[in-house]
Amino acid sequence: MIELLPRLRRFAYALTRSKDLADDLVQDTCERALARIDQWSPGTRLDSWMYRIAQNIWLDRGRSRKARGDAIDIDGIGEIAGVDGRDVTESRLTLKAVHEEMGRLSADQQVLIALVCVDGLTYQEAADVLELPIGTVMSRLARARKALHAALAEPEEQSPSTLVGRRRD
Amino acid sequence: MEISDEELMAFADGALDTQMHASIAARLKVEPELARRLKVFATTGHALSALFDDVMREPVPERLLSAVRRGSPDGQGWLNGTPVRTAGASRWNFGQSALLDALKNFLGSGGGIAAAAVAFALLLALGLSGQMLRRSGDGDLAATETGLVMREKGRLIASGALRDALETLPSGTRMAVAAPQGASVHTVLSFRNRSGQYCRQYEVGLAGGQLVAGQLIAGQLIAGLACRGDDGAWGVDLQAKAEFNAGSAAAKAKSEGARGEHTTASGTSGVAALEARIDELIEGDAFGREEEAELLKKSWGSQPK
Repeated sequence: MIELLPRLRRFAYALTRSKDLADDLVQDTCERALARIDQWSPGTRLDSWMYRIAQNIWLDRGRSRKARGDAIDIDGIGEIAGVDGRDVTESRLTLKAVHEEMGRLSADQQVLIALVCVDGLTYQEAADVLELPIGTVMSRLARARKALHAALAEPEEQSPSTLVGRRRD
Repeated sequence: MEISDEELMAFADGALDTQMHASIAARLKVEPELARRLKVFATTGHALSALFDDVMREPVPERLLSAVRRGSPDGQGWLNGTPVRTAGASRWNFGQSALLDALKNFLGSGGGIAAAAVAFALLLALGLSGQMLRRSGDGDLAATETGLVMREKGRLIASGALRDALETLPSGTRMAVAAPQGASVHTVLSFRNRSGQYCRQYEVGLAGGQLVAGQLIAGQLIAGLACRGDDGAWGVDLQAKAEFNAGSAAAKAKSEGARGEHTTASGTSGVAALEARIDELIEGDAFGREEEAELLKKSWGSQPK
C-alpha cells in the first residue's frame, strides 16, 4: 500500500488542487481501506480498489461542495467545444490553468480525467475502478476532455497552437 | 466513414490497435478538420500527467506513511497480495506486455511465490556480503535456480523475473513481482558499455521499497547494474542495498562492488556508487526511449536467452 502512495497523491492532487487537501484525501482513503481491508479480495488489484474508495470519498464531498455552491457544473460545454476553433496554446497548458479549469468540471469528469489522463489507467482499468462499462467511460471521458479543452482554449489572448500532445508511437 | 470522438480520443492516447491507428493516421494527413478535432484530445491526454508529476517525486509525508503503518495488519504498510503490477511516473512509456501475463502465471501458484521469496532473501544476502559479488570461481549456489539472481560458471547472473524485466521492461517502468513481499523491479536506464555490451541499471524494491525524489520511502532497495553477455545472460556487475530507516527520513546504504570494494554510508550513496560505476563503463549516452524500444523489440540483438 505504501508503494501506491505517490500515485494516490498525484491522483488526489489533480482532484483537489491543493497538496494539503490531497494528502487529507489520501489519508482518508488509506484509513478507510485499512478499516475495510476484509472487503478487498486478495488477488485483485489493490490500486483499483483504492482508487474506487478515493473517488467515492471525493464524490461524497463533491455533493457537499455543490451544496455550498463553490463548484460549477458545466456539463454540456463539450457540445460547443467542437465548433469553437480556438486552439489551446502551450502557455495555457499550465498546472494552474488545468487545475482551475478542472475545478469547473463535474466531480465525475474530474475523476475520469485524473484516472486516465493523469494516472495513466487504460479505459478498461478506469472502467473497473468505476464499475462502469468501458463504452460509458470512453464517452464520458471524451466529453470531459472536450469540456476541459474548451475551458482551456477560452483565451485571454489568441495565438496559434504550438502544442502537440504526447503520443505513444 | 465518420470517426467518433471516442475513436479519436483512443487514437490520441495510443489505445487503438495497429490497423485502426494506421487508418486514422492516414486520414489525418488529408483531413484538416479531423486533425483539428484530434487536437482536443491530444492536448488533454497524457500531457496532463506531466503537470502533476512533481508530486510523485516528493517524499511521501510522514503522516501518510504512519497512517498506513498504523492500520495495516503487519504494522509495516504492506499487505498480502498487493497488486501484481503497479506503475510509476513513466506509466505512459510502455504497453502491456506478455511479461505481465507471464508474471501473473508465475505468481498464480503458491510455489512461485515461495520461490520468489527465497530469491529475494538471497538477493538481500548478496547485498550484505561482498564476498558473493566477487567473480570468484566457486560457483554452485544450488538454492538459486528459481531466483532473481543465480550463480553460474563463477559469475552472478540475473534470472527469473529480474532477467525478464531486463530483457523486456522499458526503462522508467516499475513492476511488482512478488506480491507477499510487496516487491518490485524497476528498470532505470540502458546503455552500451565500452566492450559493446548492453547494460541496464535496475532497482529491486522489497516491502514496498522505492526511491521517491532520491529518498527511499519504505522497505528496502537493491540497486544494481547488469550487462548482457554474448550468451544472452545478464551478468550482475554491481549491487547496492539500502534500507529505509523509519526513525529518520535517511536510509542506510551499503554497497559492494564486483571487484570487492566496500562502502557504507547514510543516504543513497549506494546509488551514487552505482552511478559512478556507470560513468566508468558507459560508451556515449544512455539510450533514448525510441532507441531502447528498438533494442527491446530485437531482444537486445537476439542471442539466445
